[in-house]
Amino acid sequence: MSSLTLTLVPLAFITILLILPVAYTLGSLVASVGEGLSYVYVKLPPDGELYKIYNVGGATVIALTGYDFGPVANTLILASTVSITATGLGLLTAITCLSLRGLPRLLLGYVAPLIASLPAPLISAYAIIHLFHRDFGLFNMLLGHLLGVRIALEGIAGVALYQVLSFYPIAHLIILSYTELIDRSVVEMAYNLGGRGLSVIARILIPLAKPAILVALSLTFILSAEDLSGPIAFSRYNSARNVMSYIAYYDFVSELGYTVSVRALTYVALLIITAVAVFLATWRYLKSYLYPVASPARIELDLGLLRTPLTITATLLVTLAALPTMLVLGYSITEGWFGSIAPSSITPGNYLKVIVNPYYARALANTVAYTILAVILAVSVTYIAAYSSLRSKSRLSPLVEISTIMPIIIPGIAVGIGYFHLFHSMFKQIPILDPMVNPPLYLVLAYASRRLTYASRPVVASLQKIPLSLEEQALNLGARVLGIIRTVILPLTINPMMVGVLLTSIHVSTEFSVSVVLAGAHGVTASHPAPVTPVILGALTYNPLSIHVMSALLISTLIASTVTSVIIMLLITALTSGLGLRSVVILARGIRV
Amino acid sequence: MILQKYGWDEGWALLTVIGALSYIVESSEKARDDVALGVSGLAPTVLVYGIRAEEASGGKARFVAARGEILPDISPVALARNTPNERAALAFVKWLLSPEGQRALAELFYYLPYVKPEGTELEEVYDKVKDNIFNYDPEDATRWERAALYYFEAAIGDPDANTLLKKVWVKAVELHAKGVIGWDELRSVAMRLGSPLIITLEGRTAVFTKDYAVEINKRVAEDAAFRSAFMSAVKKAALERYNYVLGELEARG
Repeated sequence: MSSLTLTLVPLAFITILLILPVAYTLGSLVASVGEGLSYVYVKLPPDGELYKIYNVGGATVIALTGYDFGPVANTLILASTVSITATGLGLLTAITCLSLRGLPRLLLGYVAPLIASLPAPLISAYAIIHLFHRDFGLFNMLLGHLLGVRIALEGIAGVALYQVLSFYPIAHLIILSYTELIDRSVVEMAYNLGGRGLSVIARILIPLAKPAILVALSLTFILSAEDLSGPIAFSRYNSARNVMSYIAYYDFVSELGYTVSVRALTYVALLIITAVAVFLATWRYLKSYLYPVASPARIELDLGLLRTPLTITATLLVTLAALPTMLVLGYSITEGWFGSIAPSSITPGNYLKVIVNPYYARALANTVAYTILAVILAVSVTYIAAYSSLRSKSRLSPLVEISTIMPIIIPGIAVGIGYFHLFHSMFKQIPILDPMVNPPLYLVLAYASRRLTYASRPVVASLQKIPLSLEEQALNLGARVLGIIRTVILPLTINPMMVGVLLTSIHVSTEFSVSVVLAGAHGVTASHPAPVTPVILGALTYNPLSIHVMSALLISTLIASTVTSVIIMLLITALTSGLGLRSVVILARGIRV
Repeated sequence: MILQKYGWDEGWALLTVIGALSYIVESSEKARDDVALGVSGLAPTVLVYGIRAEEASGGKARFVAARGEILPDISPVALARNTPNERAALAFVKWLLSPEGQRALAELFYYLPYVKPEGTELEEVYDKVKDNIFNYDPEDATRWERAALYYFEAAIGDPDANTLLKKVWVKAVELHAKGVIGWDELRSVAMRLGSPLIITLEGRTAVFTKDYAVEINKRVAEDAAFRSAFMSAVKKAALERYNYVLGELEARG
């Protein structure tokens, strides 16, 4: 395989599976630009109020509701607010973690945020409702009892809180993992030259962490703009429904369903344009974030007297962010908890229902199958793309690099509607290729292309460190490119590849927007093609108390998908590289033999 | 059913006021469950949902059958075309319509039977609602229901329209509570807010009458571009009307 062919494979993959559907969506708007523009408006003055205070049952209620400026402005204001807040909090807790050592640093810096960042689409939004509902919110029951005050989060303010708590751990992990790799001597020199506490942070650390801060800002902005879980969970409030992602989704799946309205197309196009603008504005930093320079020692900050109060604040923040995930775990082993102070019973029965109910069991099996296929596809393209962008001398190599990073910023709702719009138009006469009839094919392709960044990032970072001489020697000895990838690069990157597999399988098996758009309409049968997220959406929309069984379904799926994907990839790697399973397992654990 | 029982104009006024007083949720089940959880105070529901919500709420919620009003409880039974087991299916339908079948439906699924389900949980409900029986005409409804459904979504359910509608209705109720406007005038505000809108679509201006709904029903159902244009026109007309009524009410105090 020539280097040009290697370059073209990932480019064709991303072009056909992401750029084309999205471009088709944008292109189909051209004929209706006039009508499309009528959906772009700003309500001035806005509807609603930032907050209201009233009394209910002897308690003072402070209800945070938020303004409603209309769909476009709401989305942009919400995304900006969430991204600035989540990144600010992430920076605060990351800096605090840099002042800690040993176990506290590990727990507060990584363990708790990793738990908090486990995706539990829709269910974690319901968990936020359970925490902050005016009447039955656990947090409010405590607050009401202690202070006689309740804080209610309604409308778009509720969506904002859900998104901040969901995305803040991601911002924290991005900033912490980057700043930990900053050269320790730079910070130590600052202290030696008389720098203290906040001045070192402001003048040395933050400027050096700028790439990570900007990546966190842009990623959380896009995650907020494309989020569907929050608006769906808070959809009883008009302002929560008045965001672009929800309107595009609702238009698409409304009563007659599965037709793409001009309004949906307009909002999808605006989401894409916003995402691309953010991508272009932060590309320089996205690129440098992906390849952090390795540091011989982790930095340690001296926060002086601020250390204790900041550690307490960071612990509270991380705990609050992890609470929804902990609640999801709790729901899965209880009954009758949602809407009450305490569960009515503790039971393993929810997991049993997942297995014995053919509808749920089918969703679980579908998700595992789709995840495995998507992971195999994404990892295969990852290796070709990584080799092509770092080793090939082609002029197209920078494009390959862009193509592996870009998927993370394309909104899921745009991919879902774009897929349906393009491939349904192309193949409506060929049922087996029509996404309306046969969604699994498109689900796997959409998952693999959309989550390519998760698979490629660790491999690319690792490949950069592998000496080129190893591959040159193989070439001199007559090896071909695919052989080099298979027998030289693959064995040396098994550990980062497995990290990529883990990340990809977690995000594929919990993928929400693409799944509900492409597979949300398929019936309640024991042979349905839907993965778990549309099933969760359907169950929670029709019965919030099903949150207990749905939590068990999500957790079972996450475990089954990730474990199976890891095992399958180990087997495939063992076969492909010719190393044998034992060696591959040792390498995957990061032990060099 | 509301539009048939109360007539086109009054039915829309009723739906508009219900919309002004309600959260809009994605499903009738969610409306029911919100009451069972204590999130909402009241939700319209069919009999079976109402009784199940009552059971699930652990005593927090209660199902009430409104006397003389509507208790939507349509339970059609049909035979699949080309079924390979026609005789068995017909026998099942026959049994379903028998007193035993009706009783089983009432006991197992809380479907209100057409004969009094003596000795079941539904006996009391049956007594309360037997005068509510209304001859719903499904054939008539299919002639205009798609147009009505999207009209509702644009004029009442749309977030912008619904927010403004609530604002107008709150203002009207405030004025009524202060004694500025009487009951009749409040009712007249409801009629003005809800009476079918005058919409301009494809260069033609028309009132959204039942005849008009019948005329455009098929296109609304099948033509996505027309449906979009229809909903935009309805929303525009609704916002104009709500703003106009709000302006009038604000001038009153």
